[in-house]
Amino acid sequence: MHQRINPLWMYLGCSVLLLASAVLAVCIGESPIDCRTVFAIVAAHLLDPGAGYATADETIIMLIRIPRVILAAFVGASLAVSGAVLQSLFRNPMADPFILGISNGAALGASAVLLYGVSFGLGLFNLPLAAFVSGTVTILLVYELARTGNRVATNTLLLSGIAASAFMSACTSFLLFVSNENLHQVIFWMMGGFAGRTWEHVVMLLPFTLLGVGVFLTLARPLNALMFGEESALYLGVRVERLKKILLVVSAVVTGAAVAVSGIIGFVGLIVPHIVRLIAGSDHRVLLPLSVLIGATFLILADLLARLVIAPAELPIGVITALCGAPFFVYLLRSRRGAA
Amino acid sequence: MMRTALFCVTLVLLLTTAGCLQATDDAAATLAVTDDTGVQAVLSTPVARVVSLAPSETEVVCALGMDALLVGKTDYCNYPPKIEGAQSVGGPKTLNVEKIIGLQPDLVLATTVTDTTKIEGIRAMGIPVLIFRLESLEDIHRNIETVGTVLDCPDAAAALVGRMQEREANVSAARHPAEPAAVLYVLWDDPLYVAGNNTLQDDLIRRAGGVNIMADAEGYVVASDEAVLTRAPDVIIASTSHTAGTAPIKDRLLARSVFADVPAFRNGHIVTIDADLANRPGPRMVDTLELFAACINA
Repeated sequence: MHQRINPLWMYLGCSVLLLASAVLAVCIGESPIDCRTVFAIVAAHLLDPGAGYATADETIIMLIRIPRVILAAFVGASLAVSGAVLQSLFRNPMADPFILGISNGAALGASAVLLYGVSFGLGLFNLPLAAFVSGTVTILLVYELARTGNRVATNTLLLSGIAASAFMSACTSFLLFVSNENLHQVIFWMMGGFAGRTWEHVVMLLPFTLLGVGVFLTLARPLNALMFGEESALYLGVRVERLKKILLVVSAVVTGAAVAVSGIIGFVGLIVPHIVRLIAGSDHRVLLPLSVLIGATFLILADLLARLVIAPAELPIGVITALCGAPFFVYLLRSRRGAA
Repeated sequence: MMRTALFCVTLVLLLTTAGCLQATDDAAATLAVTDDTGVQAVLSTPVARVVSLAPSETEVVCALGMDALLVGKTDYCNYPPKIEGAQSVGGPKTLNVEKIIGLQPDLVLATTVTDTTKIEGIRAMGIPVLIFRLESLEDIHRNIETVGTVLDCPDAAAALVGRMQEREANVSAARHPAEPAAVLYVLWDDPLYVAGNNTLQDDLIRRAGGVNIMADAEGYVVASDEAVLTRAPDVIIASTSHTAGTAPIKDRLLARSVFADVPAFRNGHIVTIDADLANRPGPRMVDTLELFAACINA
């Protein structure tokens, strides 16, 4: 094992980084608003939360940029921490929050809404609800497929996930193929993004993210035990099957909620936990909180770029996460190998 | 087995060569046309069987009075409502190449939006395909004139273009307000998918005396909410979509409370135009221009 930096310093560093990127993302945007004005606006609304939004600047800061930054942070944290947990659960470095078919399941639900106007009479929340429901139903299906009695073998789970993913993805392709309306909406949704998201979405996601992150953090120790294999964990007093169930259900719900508000944002859940492992090791007591912080920071910055690169237009955030994440990850991987 | 295969190949080669030689014999009856993508197509004239792979091209052929030549069209060619003798060859993504080839067209008309792999398949069978790039009214005029030339009705084409140009000139000549209106054209509300530079609707907004607030973006793009707020459009023109079960686009836009103070929202100046009329680069685009002008100068 390498000599690790004291985790406290890493928490501090990552928190500062998160705060700095949040401030940066609130201050920079398509319309030039100088930082002093931004701080004045934020301060005024913190002191008097009931105040209206008199100027365009106020609306931009309070109703567009801040909710977006918070939403990006929540989604980034949710995906990264779920990814970290699932990689450990499956002891598979390729695992990510979408491994059990949730993304393709959610995409099918979203396509049904976007292409055929399937409606639950919920207006703004039709799409998120459909994505959430179809995503979680897919995971439950995968779980049932892999279950024998009261046990679920992780390998079988992984394989049923892949099968269900392929099946759902084929259904979506079929829907896309036979329909000719609103195709670009589906494509935008599948590439993910925060364009047009509001405080309502933040409020919708908040309980899921808090609950998920909270549950995962309390399970850091049993997760550490699980790294030695299911049998060893059992001898160490971990109720393995129950732990697996909790981890699966919570990550399904957390990822489903994130996908519901942001569409499918790839790469965060796969790469962020690996980056954290490379710099901080695989002790879950450190890995999980750092994944939360770095996941949030990464997605805030990715969203900032998505807004800026081709302003006044926006890029889908999935393009940014993959374009920036992949080379950085390869760099980390190679520099680590050189050091080892 | 091998020998038979070889024999067959030779036979096919001989036959095709013979076919080619025959074609060069009456070379007088061919017409070389370069399309908007720079590809030259050689047509044998007179063209008697035409397949259109775009609603706009179907409209052009019919507006020139050459409906009788159309043997194939797409599922989305809904104007004119009824075309005798033209079979459907599928939708934009479901074009049936075998069916198109089976119709034995002398000419296939397509646009840059048409699936290129399908076009390659058709060209590979030696069927000439003309692809039009339609991003402005000028492009539509050129499209009509080209089709007029290849279908041997140049006078009808010149007359149609003349009528369009006259109406376009009337729109441009109309008195515009001193302060040109800031206009946003919306194809879809979530995400806000809008028309930037080098789009048909950008051309229409300019001609109608407005300023497209997204003219500094290229093509059709997702606009950031912030851009819409700061650029404060006076008028929003949106195309209606046909999705069942969703509220009309105007209501969906009005529900976006962040835009409450944008002039177009404050004054309720959001106009919807049928998507077929607003987004189809055919001869009826001049009708759309007049609708745009009415909205922008209201």
